[in-house]
Amino acid sequence: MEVPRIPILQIEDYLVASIQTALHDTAATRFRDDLLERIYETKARGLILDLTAVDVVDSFLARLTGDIAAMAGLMGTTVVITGLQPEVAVTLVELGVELKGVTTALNLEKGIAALRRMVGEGKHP
Amino acid sequence: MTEKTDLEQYQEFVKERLKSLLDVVQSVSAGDFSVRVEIPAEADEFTALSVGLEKMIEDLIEARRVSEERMARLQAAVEEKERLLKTVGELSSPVIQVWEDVLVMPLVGAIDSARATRIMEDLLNGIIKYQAEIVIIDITGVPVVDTSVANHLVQTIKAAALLGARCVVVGISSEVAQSLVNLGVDLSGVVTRSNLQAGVRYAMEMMGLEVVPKKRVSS
Repeated sequence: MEVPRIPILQIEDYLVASIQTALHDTAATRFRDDLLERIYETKARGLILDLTAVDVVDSFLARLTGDIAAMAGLMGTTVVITGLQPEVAVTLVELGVELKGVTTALNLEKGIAALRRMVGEGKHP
Repeated sequence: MTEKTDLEQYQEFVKERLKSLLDVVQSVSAGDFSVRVEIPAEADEFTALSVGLEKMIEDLIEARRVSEERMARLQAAVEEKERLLKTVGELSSPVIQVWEDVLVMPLVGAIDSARATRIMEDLLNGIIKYQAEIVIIDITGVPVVDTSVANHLVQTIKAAALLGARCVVVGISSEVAQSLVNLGVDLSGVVTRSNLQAGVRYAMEMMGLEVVPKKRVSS
């Protein structure tokens, strides 16, 4: 029973991954490992995690994204989260969940613009 | 065949008349007003009762008509009120794009819990619709900002940040400033400026823009 891997795409100097399915346990661990592998292979300076297709964010997913940001950061990659849905944003705020060390942008285009601004100027979280 | 005695005949007459009156009463109780009381040409012991009953039925019909009219008027008034409330709701928190990526949300009037939720929704939807990066929330027209409103505002600003938009609150009056500090509301993450103009200037700075006079062609 193979759970599909989340595709990680590359554009310019950055990696882009769009989370389309519910991520739990093995799938989540595999995704995180895949990501960090790709960062290592490509020396990507930026990573965009797109959550447009995510309707519900629980504390697990929030922690996962925080972890990914921290790990990627240690490897020299800036992380931007894009596509958070309004309902999800409201829930996160109401639950008091903070996405630490994570920049957010409305969509992919703005996410890449943000990365260019941050990475281009040599900024690093 | 025995002929009925006078007494038996009288008993039958009474039963018959009572039954016809009872039928009418039962019909009317069941809501059927189409049945009427039969009033015989010759006056008898039941005439007064029949006439009285008939009048009562007519009064009932009239009362029902009046009541239905009132209901219709009330219904129309309720619908009108709902229409007005909807209009007020739409007027009360517009989201206006004043520049590329810059929105202004002028708030006017008292803000209760329901309105605060609507404001948050309208703001977030506005950010998505206009792809905004800066939102100027102008509370000049809000007379009272209590702990609840302040907290809603802070939540809204945090949620907007998750959508990649920065907020600046303008138009805090001296009374509102005093009550916010006295209430001990934590506004540490909130950027504020004095008025809309200062808010726009802040937005321009954030976007890396400046307004300069046009070069005049000297004659």
